[in-house]
Amino acid sequence: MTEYRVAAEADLEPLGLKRVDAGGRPLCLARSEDGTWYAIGDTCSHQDYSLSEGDVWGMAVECPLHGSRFNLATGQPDRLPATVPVPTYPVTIRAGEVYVEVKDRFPPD
Amino acid sequence: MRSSVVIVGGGAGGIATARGLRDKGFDGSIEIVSDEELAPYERPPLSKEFLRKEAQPADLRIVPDEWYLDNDVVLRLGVRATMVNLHTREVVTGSGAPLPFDHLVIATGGRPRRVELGLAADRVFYLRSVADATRLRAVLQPGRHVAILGAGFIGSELAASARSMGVDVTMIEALATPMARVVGLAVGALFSDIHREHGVRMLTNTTVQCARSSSTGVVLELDDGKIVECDALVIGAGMVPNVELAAAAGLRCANGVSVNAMCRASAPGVYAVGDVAAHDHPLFDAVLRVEHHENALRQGAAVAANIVGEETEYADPHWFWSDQYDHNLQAVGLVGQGDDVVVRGSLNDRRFTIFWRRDGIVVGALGLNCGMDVRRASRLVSLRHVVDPNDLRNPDIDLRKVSCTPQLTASERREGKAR
Repeated sequence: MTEYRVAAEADLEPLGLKRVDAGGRPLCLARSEDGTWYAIGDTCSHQDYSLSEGDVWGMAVECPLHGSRFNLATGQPDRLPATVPVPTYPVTIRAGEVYVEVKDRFPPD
Repeated sequence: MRSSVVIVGGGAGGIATARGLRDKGFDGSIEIVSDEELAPYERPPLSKEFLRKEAQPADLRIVPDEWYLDNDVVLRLGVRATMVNLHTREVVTGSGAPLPFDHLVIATGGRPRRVELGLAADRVFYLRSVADATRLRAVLQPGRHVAILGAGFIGSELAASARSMGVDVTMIEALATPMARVVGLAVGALFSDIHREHGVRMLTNTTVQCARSSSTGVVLELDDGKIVECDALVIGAGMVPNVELAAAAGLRCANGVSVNAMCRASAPGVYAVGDVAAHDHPLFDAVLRVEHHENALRQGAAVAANIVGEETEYADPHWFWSDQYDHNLQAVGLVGQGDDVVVRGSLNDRRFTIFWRRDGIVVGALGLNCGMDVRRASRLVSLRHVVDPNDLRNPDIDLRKVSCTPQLTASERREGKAR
């Protein structure tokens, strides 16, 4: 596991989304309505598109292209057309900085 | 005794019903009867990724093959339901014993509307099934010339796919623009431009007067005197709902199988979903038969809920999308209706959302390359909120956060509810 600093705490408000890079891996950093931080894979599993261009609805991020939704905590799709989950990554906040932990690149997770 | 559900039709609506039933813990038997040989597949890619050979039939499966076994769902492929007997409560099929049911779901979809032009059958193409798309992709070779009769959604997506494959395309459309009935003339004109920029020969306000097969292709004579010589003709003239089974069983049908707000047909325990269902929509207060993927999914989930006794009205705002070239079009609700139009963004930039309001309530929205706004607007349509047009117009305002005043739905008004 490697930890990457991906953003500052002030970068994102609740319901916000931001595409960040963690060691070459594109992640979608998200905050739910209650302000909790999440990180999931940024690429929609339905069609190659950046989830961080989308929206947070409750506990899910929604892809702007075709409306697939993924649970922020589990990565599970909870709205079609996507049927395959996206990966999730633990987020830690320390001293106003946002860190995400990802498995090392190989083998891919 | 276990309750039994028979679903006739293996499209998006039928599978969504089966999934919804198991998601809701329904523990009775579920049988799906499909006259196709292929396991249920998604149709949206047929005019796009599949046609462009970026996807294979196996990629289109709605659920993995093992899902049926894992979820105790019996899938009968290549089996045609020939009769429904509402007295004995059985579906008669072309093979094997009749299938008894407690609940019947009619998910028979539709078929392409045929246009008879007297052409050799091997030159004429339609697009509805994997079989149709497989036949069609064999002729979509670089340098070939394909004419598309009808610039609706299927014809337009097909044109975009064909152009990206280096196929010459002529579109022939009776109305002034592509997709005019749904998107209106202003957005339609924009799509005429987009197609032309991508090299499509777009012939509008015209139709085929007569047609003949030539030695290698087709010669079309249009009513304005133009001649189109091409290798193949694709007809995208809309679809006809497959109501025959339901109509013969005595179920009420009028441009589809008539169902109430809960998706129930005119006999107890019988439902219809998807392209075939003419649904009494409680939000829009109109009977609507909708040919969009999303509608089939949501309606299937609603039917599943009602089979397990939830008594829920299906009030989905009817959201849909279309991908053409690198453009993503989305719409929701009653597009082009209402008494007031508000535009957010600019048509010239090809990045905009148009809102239609009735009595201040957002009833519909259509966006080009602004999917998020349309998705956000779908919530406004569902909630029937009066929204300040300045909030709609201002692209800096998040449509999830606009201030609005709730209004009663049509069925709530009928029931005399107050808010």
